[in-house]
Amino acid sequence: MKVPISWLKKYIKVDEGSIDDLLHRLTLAGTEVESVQTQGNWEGIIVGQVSEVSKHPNADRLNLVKVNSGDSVLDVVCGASNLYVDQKVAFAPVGSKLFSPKSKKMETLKKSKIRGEISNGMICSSLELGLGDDHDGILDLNQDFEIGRKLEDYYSDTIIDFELTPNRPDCLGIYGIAREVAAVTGNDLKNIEMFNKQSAESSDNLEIDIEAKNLCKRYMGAVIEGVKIQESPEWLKSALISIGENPINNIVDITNYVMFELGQPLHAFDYEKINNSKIIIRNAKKGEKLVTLDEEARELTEEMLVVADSDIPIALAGIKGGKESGIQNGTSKIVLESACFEGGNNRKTANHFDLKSQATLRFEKNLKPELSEIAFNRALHLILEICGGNISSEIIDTGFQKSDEIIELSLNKINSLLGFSFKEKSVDEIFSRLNFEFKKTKNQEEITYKVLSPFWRPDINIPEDLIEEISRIEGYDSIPATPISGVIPEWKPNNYLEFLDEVIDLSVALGFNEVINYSADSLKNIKYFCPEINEDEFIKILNPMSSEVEYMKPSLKSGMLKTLSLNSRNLNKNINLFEVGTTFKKSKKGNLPIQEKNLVIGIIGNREKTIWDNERKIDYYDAKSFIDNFFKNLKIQFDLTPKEHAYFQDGMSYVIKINNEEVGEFGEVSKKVSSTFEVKNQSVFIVEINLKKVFNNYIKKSEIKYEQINKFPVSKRDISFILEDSILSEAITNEISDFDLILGINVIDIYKDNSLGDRKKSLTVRLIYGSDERTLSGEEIDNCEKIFLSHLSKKIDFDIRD
Amino acid sequence: MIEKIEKLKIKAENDLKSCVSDKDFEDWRVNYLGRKSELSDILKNIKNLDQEQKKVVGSLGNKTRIELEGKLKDTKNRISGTIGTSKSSEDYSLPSRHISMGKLHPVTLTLREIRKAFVSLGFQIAEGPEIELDKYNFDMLNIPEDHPARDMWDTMWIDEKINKNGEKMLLRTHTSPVQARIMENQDPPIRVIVPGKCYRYEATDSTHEWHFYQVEGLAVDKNLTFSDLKGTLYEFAKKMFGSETKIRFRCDYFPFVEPGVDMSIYWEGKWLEILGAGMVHPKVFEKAGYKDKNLSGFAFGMGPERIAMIKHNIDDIRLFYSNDLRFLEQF
Repeated sequence: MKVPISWLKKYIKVDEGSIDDLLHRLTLAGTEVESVQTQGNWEGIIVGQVSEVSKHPNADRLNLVKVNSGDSVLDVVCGASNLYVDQKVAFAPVGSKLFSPKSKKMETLKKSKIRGEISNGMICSSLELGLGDDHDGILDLNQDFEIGRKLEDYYSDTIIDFELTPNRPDCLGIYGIAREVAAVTGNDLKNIEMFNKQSAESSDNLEIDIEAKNLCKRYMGAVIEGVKIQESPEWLKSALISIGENPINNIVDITNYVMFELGQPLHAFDYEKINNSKIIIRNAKKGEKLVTLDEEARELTEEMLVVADSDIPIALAGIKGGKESGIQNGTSKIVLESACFEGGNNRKTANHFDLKSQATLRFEKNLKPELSEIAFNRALHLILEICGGNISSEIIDTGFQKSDEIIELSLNKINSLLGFSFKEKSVDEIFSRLNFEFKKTKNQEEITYKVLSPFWRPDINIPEDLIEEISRIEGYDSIPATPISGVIPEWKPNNYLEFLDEVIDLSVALGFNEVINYSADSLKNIKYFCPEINEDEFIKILNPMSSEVEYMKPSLKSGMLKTLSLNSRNLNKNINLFEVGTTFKKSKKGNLPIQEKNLVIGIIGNREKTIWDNERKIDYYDAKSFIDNFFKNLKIQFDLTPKEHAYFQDGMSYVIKINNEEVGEFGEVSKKVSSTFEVKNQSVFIVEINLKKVFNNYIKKSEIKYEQINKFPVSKRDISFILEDSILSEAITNEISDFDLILGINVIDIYKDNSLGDRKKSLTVRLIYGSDERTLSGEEIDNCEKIFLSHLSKKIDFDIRD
Repeated sequence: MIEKIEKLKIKAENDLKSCVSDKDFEDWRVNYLGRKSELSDILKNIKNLDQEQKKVVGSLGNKTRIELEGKLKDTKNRISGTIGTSKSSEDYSLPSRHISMGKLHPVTLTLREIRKAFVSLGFQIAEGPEIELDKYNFDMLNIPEDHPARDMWDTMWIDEKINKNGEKMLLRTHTSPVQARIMENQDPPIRVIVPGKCYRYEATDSTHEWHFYQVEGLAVDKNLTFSDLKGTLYEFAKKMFGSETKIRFRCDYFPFVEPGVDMSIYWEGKWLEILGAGMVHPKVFEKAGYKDKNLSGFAFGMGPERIAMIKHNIDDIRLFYSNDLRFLEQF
């Protein structure tokens, strides 16, 4: 909401010397100042006059204009469509400085050649001058402006832009802002001039009927005859320009002005266009259409509220007027409307048409019907003064029922909610400043207020609303900060979240960098990694930011691959990443989709050469080391089993199982998939684990019980087996479990050589022998080894290499 | 005797390698070169040896002493960095062996800091669904349909065909719906914070992301006051930004609280908003089924990205989720 200081000063004394302090206090009290701009944010702009307009020979949309700048007539190329001869314009000659909407900076204007024609300057729009948002045409200056004069002689002001909260429609009128200034400063508000007479005659008939009573709480209307539609007077035009509105004609400008002054939207109809002089406020009928002022033909539905005459809709109530019934240059008899339309319905219709008008911005906040009358009388006053004419019908006021809701509030309640000790006197003072009418009742313990809030404050409905008013005007700063009181709730450990933290810490400890990817991805990317899910089972966002993020991810792999690819291209080195994120899958049972946390890890890029290590490609065992150490640390047994997945390479695709339940997948991403993620000639390994399933097997660190450590020394012995190449090492390593004296086994060497025989390999393991009762003798170890080998020989064929 | 000196020398040289501090060097010197050292003893007792041995042991002993003194000086200099080259065979300036180091994402770091601050004030941690029912995201929080306050949260909607009751579903626009879920299932007293991802239909730029985190907070008890809210959040801000931080409360509007608050900190010459808060609106209690009139509470919500941006001088929120390691590895 833009508020020029000059406009605000019409209603209240503003000390410009301490304006910063005032704005600070307003901000603290809830009316937040977003920016303060000084108008006249330019250098060297002058008033010019168009003396000739002709088409640019080489460009249809451009014009060649001769501009009289006072001392010379200059050739200018201009693309605006609203040029006319004798028009007074804001002219920026070469060398002047102004704001560029393109670069968003102040720029010095240079002489230029546009499509072969020299341009000695520029004719400015209100956007370029920082006077408004309008960039459709150039700014049409008042004819009274003197050619050659500096523009700042006519336009200079300070504009405050307030960022308002949706509960305060009163501040969508500058008079409402003035009330806030009065409340925080204690300064007096000035009254504004109103029409306060009865209508003198009723020569014109006007009938108003509210059919949709729940959607229209008041409708006021009157006919004014003999108005002269013309340009508004200078003060009115520049007031509108200063807040970025384009002046149109005096009637429309007055209705706009009053809306920006008091926060009540108004409308004016051409009386002659209203069939049978009858206005009906009703729901639209099925199949009805209305061409609105913006020349759009709108199909209406039965929920929508319209203002109709005896036959057809003439306005979309409180949103936009109809074109047919609008004010034209030749109109001499108008109907002025000031009404109170219901907020929710108004908002719904506006959203339906994507028509967020200034009127809807106010009506949707449920204005009070009392405001309609104030604004009606204000507009009548201005119309009669500026446009001439006189009221030629009865002033009709229908639908209004006064309902004053009293809010009861005790001083105790105020202080017990705030944790403060407000005195009766300061509460009285604040209520008065805010124009809240109140009565007090006192008994020994309690002072109780009965409060009636003013009509411009539809947001005040419950005692807590009043408490906010008291505290914000007093200033939140005056309320002390105390340590939180009351009972500390019983501690309920959140084991799952603690587990997630451990998973994250563990992944970091294993050398992986954490990433956080978007929760959504494109259909194409999701399909690569979830070929088992039907397309209509994916969870679709109806209004996604883009098709790149249209579906919630059922797997984290696509995001991981994308991030690996990006960083690999940037850094070209070995990269280890992990993410703990939510996955989304359709649920057959619940109301909401299944939303579970997964862990995904990804590895890409060669291990670089260092003085200690040679360069090498990453492989299966790099990724497996994560899985091994991850589960070892969590003290969870797992199995890896080969299982094909479409997105992994054949023969390099596994599932991870705990107690025979699949908890994750692991493999090398297929070349076909990785190349679509711009990974070229590089292996990528990805592991994805369902954390809920792992959690089911998880023992909290705090619950681990100590096991006695072995007090006696251990011995190590190496054995080299010669085996069929197809036999997995686990065929040996898994067999130690029945041997008490064998504490551990590690594969320490493996090689394949023709000398070993066809399809044979040599596999060396290191066995760790020990006992918690004694130091083992060499004999005992020899014996144990013998039994172990004989046990093995019943399971697999092997030779021992000496 | 000669063997003894040679062994002593090897031992001394080995020990010297593990010396780093001045104290280490002094201990080493006393041990190997001091008056009561073995070497001194040998040299002291040299007079008892025969002429031939006296000569050999004496010269070796003295040579060893000089060498050890020289090594001590070199090692000291090397450790203190006065010379860049070494006479020993180790090139200590070579890079070390590679160990992969992982790092936490800056948002996780910030979330953990926020959690720590509130856990110390007796708050517990909860989570809730990211795809949420309209009811929890809006209705239960006193934001009915067609209410203008809904404009404060541009919403992304989920295809409702997948909800078996045909209820409207959305990507939660804030973590506040978890407030409603907690109150539905739990009796006061409550002190809880809720970290989690949120989503808004919002064009991205350097200060806006459509995908972001939020931390919601809720405290409900008998007679909790605005002062308690202020005390709690001031304490939090001081823990996050330093005990000298200037903090400001100003009036703001959120439909689920009344009075409503916006909290700012004074940072590098400017007031920066860091969170929204307020006393729980009676309608929210009513919808949650809390009937006790003596109950009151406060709620708050903040964006960890914004806090991280302020603390770490990050000028573009999009850096968090573009996951460029050159950014992530800085934390």
